[in-house]
Amino acid sequence: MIDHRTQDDTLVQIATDPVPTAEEKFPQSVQTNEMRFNWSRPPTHLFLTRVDGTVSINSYPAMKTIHTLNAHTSSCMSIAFAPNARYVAIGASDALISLWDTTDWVCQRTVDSSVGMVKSVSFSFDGSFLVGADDEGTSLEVVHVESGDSMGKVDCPQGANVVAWHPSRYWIAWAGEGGGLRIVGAAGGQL
Amino acid sequence: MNSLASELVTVRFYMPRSKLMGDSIRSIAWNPTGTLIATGSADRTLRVWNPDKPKVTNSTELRGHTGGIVAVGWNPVKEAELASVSSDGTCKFWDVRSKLCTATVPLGGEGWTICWGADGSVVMVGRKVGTMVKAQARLRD
Repeated sequence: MIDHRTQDDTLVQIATDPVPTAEEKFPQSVQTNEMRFNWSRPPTHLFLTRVDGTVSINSYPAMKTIHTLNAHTSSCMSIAFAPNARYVAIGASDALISLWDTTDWVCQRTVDSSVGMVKSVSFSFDGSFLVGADDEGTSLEVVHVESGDSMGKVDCPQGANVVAWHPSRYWIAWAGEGGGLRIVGAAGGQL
Repeated sequence: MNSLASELVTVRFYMPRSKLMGDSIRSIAWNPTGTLIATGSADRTLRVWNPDKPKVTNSTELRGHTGGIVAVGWNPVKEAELASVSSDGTCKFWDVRSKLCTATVPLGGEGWTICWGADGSVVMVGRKVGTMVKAQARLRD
């Protein structure tokens, strides 16, 4: 039993086999927001978004920081991996979404259509499209990843906190402040 | 390419059971096959929906958390195992079909975020800063 009175953020690693059990705790010096493992089985890297605007890339399971992206000028809040692992998208409180090429960790582009904090980002199942939740905006913009072009907007009059593409269809689930869950689908599920 | 823009017209609307302020959904996640979607709310409600059946009476409520739900995530290699993280300081695992909570892992502080490894072998949970915590190492039996 260790008694810590701390202002530090901590990550709790839970092994699931044979039953979920907390294995180890990793104190962090900076508050982390959304995290993602890479797609490897088992995972080899853990990505942490942080309130200082950086994204910390850690080796896993060693949990050593191997690279830091200076991604935004204010808090990074959300992260998503493209299904083909080619890109990582980061949503931040500066109302931007940054798109990073995973081969060289260069920022490919930023999407600036949001007006509020981007607390959630999601790629479509084929990696073609990206959408971000805008907590002060009145629409969700669907962006074509390769070109950066806008493909259309979904109305969300009270803003959105969370957004998630369906794993195999062109459906977008989202929710804002009140009003429940909504799912928007391309008619017939096809482009 | 602009055909997608003209097709984003179908909206399914799920009425929340609670009309209270603070029922805001804080986290959503599709299961790996896309047959279910989970929502976690600040009012402590954890709910699993069938996207083809929008009525709240067709959804499943998973009860057990004593604080707001801040993050949810599905086991990527199973169809119906869900993990939820709460401000009650726990991460709970659920078999959605039976609605049973199969495990409760104390975090030592308020939960904040969650992610699963792609092989389902590990879950990493982020805690919220600013809490006084007692860190307890749990040893495997």
